Amino acid sequence: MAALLAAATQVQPAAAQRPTDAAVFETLQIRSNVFVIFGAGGNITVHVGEDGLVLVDSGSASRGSDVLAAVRRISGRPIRYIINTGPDEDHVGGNETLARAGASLMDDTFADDPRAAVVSHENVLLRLSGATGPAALPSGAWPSETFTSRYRSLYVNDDPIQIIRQLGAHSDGDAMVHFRRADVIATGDVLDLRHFPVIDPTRGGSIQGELAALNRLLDLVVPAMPLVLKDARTLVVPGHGRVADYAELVDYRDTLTVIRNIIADQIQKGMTLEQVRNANPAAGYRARWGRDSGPWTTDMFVEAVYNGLKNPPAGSEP
Amino acid sequence: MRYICAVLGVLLLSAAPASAQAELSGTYIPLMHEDYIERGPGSFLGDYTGVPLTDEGRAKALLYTSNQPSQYERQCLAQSAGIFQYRPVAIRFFKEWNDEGRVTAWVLGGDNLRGDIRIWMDGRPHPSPNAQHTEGGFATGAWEGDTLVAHVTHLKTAWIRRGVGIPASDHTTIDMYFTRRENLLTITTIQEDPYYLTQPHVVSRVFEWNPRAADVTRQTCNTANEIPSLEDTGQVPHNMPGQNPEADYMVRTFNLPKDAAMGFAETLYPEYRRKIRSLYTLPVACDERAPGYCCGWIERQGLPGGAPSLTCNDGGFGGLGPRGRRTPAATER
Repeated sequence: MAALLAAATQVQPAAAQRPTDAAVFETLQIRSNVFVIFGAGGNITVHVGEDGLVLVDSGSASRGSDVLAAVRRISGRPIRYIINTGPDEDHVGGNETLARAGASLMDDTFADDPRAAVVSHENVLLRLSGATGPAALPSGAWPSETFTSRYRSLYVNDDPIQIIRQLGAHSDGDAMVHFRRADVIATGDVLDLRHFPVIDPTRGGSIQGELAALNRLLDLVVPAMPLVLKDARTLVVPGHGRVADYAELVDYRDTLTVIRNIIADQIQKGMTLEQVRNANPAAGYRARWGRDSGPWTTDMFVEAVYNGLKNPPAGSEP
Repeated sequence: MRYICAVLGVLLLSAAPASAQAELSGTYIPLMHEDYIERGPGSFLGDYTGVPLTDEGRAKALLYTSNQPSQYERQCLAQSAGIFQYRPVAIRFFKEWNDEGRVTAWVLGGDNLRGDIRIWMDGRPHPSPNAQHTEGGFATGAWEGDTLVAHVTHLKTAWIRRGVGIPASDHTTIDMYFTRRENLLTITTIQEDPYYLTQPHVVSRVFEWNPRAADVTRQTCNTANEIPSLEDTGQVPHNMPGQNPEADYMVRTFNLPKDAAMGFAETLYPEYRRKIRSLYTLPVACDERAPGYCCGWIERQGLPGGAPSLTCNDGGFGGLGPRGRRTPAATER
């Protein structure tokens, strides 16, 4: 189990090229007892110990069986918890498949059959249970345990695990998961190293909440300091993209703060959304973090920031 | 076909044995007469000369202020893996073996602001794109004759030149060539970046073996509150678009065309020098110090940031500069 489970080894091309957004499906070991499954939707963190497995997110429904097979290659121990960082299908879609393959640590659940507990903020359950149409997920994929408090804490696998409520960044169901002994934080889509963060105002997301979340993460994540040449540091598993640490967080926070400031200045000058878009407020960051097509474009990001600044949300997490 | 055979023949005749290699171990000091401005007092403000920036790279550089690396969060973040080419700091090379006595890696040791670059020589592949990026990146190497060639990927976002904020992305790659001739180590770096560079950024520097340089590299870093007003605010210092007060510094100080200072690829080539020769007039301040030649920081002697005790010396490469060409302005004086 301790061996690196890199299923794919891709040699980088000689010339630097822009990578694609689609991640290779593979499992990487990042700590002695922590693994990350990539390429099945959002990143899935797998925490292993004597009590069983704790998963953060479950990927897309269409990859549920692939993810389950990957989990089984990591460990044969039962899946005890699946913690959802948000309501998106690519983070919760595999809930049902993975939960049914597991068993809760508590023997008095209301389920007819053993299944892992699915934990999330209450708003995730409200989103999923209120969804209609073809995108709606079956009730078996819904969270079975919800919370509303700032923290929901577990002590599992000899590790204090804190689920941190961080509403209003990507959506109104955001949570981050801190494995304190393993020193790993799974951020959900608060940190998306593919592109600008998806801020969905229709579901409670905002630039204010996004920056509050990133600044809160910077308080929790410890860099390699003062022994800067050592590998010792907190590891960060983003919602999408590679394994990261303090440096990526700082860069992402700074990038969004600069763009926020530029758009705020343009609003103060009375510019309309169209004028702001045409002024390209993300210049300098657009090539790396922006997209001109696809589900989340730079224009959509700029619009979300603009509208968020024009009409600030009632409140986001401090 | 005959052409291909001829080329192959030349390659075979000129190729050194694959096993050829040199002993790189040791500590080296930079030769400060090379690019002393960058290595000594630091870049001029708004000076992006020699870097083939994209429009995005230029835009990001112009948003930069030197308060950014003074942020608490950034003080100990590593600079670019190739920053040793620009710093007045010694470097050290060492190698690592396996149990069979084979060299598994050459290591260009890091310091307080630059990560170790461990150049794997055992044939291992580069990790997947999902793997963590590090300060020194992931490097694999091979000998080409007596030159060690390394390919570095998995780097973090960092400034190519921190003094002026010339950016590189986390998808940048660097090829490094290490050639030792007696006590001199030549290092050539070729950096590519899909977002911020239109062409490879090539730098070549010479270092001199010096066993007494071993103790000059610090390996720890600590932070201090350099900008108290930013503490716990989440604010990030930066210029606003179009408001960088130093964007015209090179124009004001050296009469350099703005395009030359702003890092367009065209300005890298000799043809550009010919293109602007007839347009260029030497600043009066330069001419007073050294007739016909502009010595950069020399002109600032006695001013803040000046380079005391340096004398104007173009290294005998007068043909590269406007030496001897008296400008109308200078002649009138």
